[in-house]
Amino acid sequence: MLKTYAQAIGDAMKEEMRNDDNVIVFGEDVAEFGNIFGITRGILEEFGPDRIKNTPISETAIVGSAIGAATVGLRPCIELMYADFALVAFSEIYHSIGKWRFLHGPEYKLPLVIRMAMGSSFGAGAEHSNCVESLFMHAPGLTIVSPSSAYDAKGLLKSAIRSDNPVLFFEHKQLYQTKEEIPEEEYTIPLGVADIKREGTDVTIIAVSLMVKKALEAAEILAEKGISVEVIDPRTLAPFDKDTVFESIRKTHRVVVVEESHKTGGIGAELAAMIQEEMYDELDGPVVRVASLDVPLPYNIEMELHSIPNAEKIVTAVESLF
Amino acid sequence: MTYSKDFLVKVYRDLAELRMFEEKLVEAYAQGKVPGHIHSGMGEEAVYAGTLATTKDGDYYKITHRPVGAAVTLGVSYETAFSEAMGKSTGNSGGRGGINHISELSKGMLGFSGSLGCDAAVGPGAALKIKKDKTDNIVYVYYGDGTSSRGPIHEAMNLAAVWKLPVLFICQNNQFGISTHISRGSSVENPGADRAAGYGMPSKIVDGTDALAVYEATKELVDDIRKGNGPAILEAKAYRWRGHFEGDQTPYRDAKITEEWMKKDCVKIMEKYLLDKKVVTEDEIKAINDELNDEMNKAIEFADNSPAITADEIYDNIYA
Amino acid sequence: MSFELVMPRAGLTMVEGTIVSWKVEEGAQIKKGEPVLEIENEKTIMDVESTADGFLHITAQAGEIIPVGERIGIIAESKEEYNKVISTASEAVETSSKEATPAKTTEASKEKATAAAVISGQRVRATGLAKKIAKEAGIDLSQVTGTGPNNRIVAKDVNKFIEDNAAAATLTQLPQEKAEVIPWVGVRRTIANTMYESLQSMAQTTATVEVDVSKLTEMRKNLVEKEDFLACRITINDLLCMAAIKTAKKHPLANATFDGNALTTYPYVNLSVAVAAEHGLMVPVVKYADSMTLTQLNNSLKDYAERARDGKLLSGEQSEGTITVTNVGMFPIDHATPVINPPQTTIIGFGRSVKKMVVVDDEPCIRTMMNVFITYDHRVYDGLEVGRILATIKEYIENPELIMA
Repeated sequence: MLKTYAQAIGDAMKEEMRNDDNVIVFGEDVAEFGNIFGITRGILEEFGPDRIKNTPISETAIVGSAIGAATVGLRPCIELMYADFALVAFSEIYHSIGKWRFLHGPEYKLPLVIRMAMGSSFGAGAEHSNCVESLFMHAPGLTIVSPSSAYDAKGLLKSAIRSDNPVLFFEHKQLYQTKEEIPEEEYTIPLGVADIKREGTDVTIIAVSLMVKKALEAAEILAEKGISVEVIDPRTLAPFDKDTVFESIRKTHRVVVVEESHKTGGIGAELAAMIQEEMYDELDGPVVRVASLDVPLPYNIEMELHSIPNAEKIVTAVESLF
Repeated sequence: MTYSKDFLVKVYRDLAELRMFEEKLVEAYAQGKVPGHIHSGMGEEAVYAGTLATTKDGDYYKITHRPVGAAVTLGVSYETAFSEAMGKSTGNSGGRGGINHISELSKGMLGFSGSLGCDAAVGPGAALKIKKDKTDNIVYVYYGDGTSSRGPIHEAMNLAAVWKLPVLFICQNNQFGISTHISRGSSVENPGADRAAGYGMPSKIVDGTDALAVYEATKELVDDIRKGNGPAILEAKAYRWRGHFEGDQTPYRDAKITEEWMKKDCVKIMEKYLLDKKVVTEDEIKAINDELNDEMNKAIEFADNSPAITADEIYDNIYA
Repeated sequence: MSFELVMPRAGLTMVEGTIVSWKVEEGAQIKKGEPVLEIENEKTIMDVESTADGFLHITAQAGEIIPVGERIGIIAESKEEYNKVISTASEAVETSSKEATPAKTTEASKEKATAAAVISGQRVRATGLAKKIAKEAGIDLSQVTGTGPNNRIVAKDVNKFIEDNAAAATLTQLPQEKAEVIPWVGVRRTIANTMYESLQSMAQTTATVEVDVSKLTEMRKNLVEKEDFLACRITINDLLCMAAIKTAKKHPLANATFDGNALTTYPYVNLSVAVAAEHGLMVPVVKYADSMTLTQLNNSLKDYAERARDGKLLSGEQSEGTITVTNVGMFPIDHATPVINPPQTTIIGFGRSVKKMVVVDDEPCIRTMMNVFITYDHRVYDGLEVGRILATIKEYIENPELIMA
């Protein structure tokens, strides 16, 4: 059945709530309103107010209480609305979530998911448009998921909810209304496994979230120019599936990383460093990054679009390697 | 209020045990056996001995860095506690977490943060489980007067109040946030109790050097919480005898005031009460202390002789 | 007034010339048309004549390679002019090292950048993959032209270089078959260098004598019959080596090493024996071979030959030889010019034994004949000595009982 990314995420939550009554949902405006993007619509009606709760605007308490709930056996799937707001709870996520088990011992585990909507969405401005995955990639102990399609989003969220480890789940706002065929039967997608979205032989593009779509557009253009592009979606940024990426590099010998976060200290910075360290002898050129400009994302839409990557910029980056 | 001998001896024993644990920790630290830095809780033992006299099975606890000996009050073995403090493989996290993470889930401990206050909402989170299970258990969340100024404390209290969760917040007011006196960190006199009104919570202020007074005030609040009436704040006033960390010579405060407060020794107060009321004899007091001393010395020796984890093992316990 | 003397263009393809030597000294008074220096181009060495009368200031020294048209000297009309030239020249040198040089290098690097990815010094700009492929193929990256961004050498360039070279090597073969490029490394590389070095650094020449090995063959037959008694199977090679050892002992110039300055002769014979192994030529050394009996020599040669073929020689077992023998008698080789194993002076070769019609005592008869050929360093000894040496070894081989004496 054709479903949107938003519906797929909502379905994943409902299915997991039916599977396990320890799964609870809370966050800003998730109950009656069904979240500002409509993701959690229908959950309150089906599961009642004990299983889904609106919280006050209190990100540190949302995250902090999820730690407590998960510690004692609940499986909270919480929501922070905009990923930008995760920074309000930065200490809770960075220090507490990723380290809780390490610090307190193997008796402790945190089966919790933090869902967040991220990315540019035509004029949302500098504080409601950020892609902040890379900030958390620096923290040991976190699992970071950033799906690029409805099918992946559903399968990955179900795995995230079932995981005994804390998962940050980043949803791209521009993807919410994209549709994909979703099977009727239940399925999950393992965390930590990348997906090759398009096979190619000349260059590997590692693209994240919405940028997977942009990379696929670029691949079409480049195919006409005689360049065969392989597009890899890591899907899980941490732990990172090196095997799939390295195997691709052994074939193509060229790498472009595409992300929507800022270039400096971004996902591409980490991947480029890792790839040159571990794959130097396979590289036939530098690892090239395509990322957002190092500016706060402007409100003006023309300037916003200028600041983030698109197919054309990806094409230029790929061509610079030949 | 009248108490049974068993109850009184238990409260005394908790006080003596916590005091001794803190003393031994200072000693071990001075001998270079404890990495990092420790935060002695001497002088504040009654806050724990009193509040924890109200617990029942199934309750949860979120303690703080001071005094970490509260973990042994809650049932963590001396061996585990000293091993963790000394960074040894025999500690609860194998020495990965250390002094500020002496904790066992099987004892109801939720864990606690070195980044103060960021763990406050852990209590309300655990309380959701209590609500789901529909028991009359509660969560004890301890925090200090210094931490009371941190935002997450506010968010946690607000969330607990708005969801009417069974949480007792215990503001352990020892008057200092490192060197800053609470009068310069809070515009109200009672940074715990005075703020309760802002969340529509009941509160009590109690002398934190009198274990029985702490018990009585706590019991009143706890009984109400167990009935499902939502969270409350207890503020226990005490004094931090030692510096924030070992080596802190406390030049920022008047030594005479410290001396005065040290006369209000919660262990001695309880001891005098028991002897005056002839609940116990001096011999019994000595026997209790000798036993504690013996067991703790053995535990320290055990910890001292325990190995550290190996380099290969540092990656364990990151992911479940 | 002064004139520039420049590197002349002396041939259609000449782009640069080497100054061989100046025939006149700095400051000498020279005349127009007078040969003042010798230059060398790719074809020849020739004189260069002065293009003016005057006093010569030399600006390029012997050994320097100068592009055609560039200055090699200045001819000053008068002595005063010459003095002025010298003082300004030294200033010019100073300033040029400060200012002119950068301009020059920019120019030069621009030129080179378009040709290859070799920039200042010896650094080659190439990708990790290109370097890896080049290393595996034993290719010097400075020979490869980079076509990647910034003229960087990318994998494609190295692969193309390999293909081009292979194509050149296999022009005569079927076009679809690629030539195999084998990196010349390790033992093979060492052998290659040694052989080249040997022929480059010595005056090697070869002399040959035909010897009658009928008696030697007969003697060997008898020794083989006593194989059990001797507890070893004596070979023709053992006997020939023994003959070589005895000969070496009698001719110190042949049992010697020469470094170009001094000759060292030895009171003992350390016999280098060439052994053909699949992985390359091995030359183990039988130390103090002159003090060995025939059976000892047999054992030693057998052991060395086996280990040389298996690549199991220990370090040091191929050094300190004083003379070399090479026996190619098992192949259809009658005559060869073996290459001396430096720094030795002599190598003795043995060819194939064949039955021939020869004249003995004016009567035709069938004898088993073989060539002995000696390559020697003509810098050390000459025809006279090699004649004597060949006579000695002929004597030993044709009268093999002498070998045992």
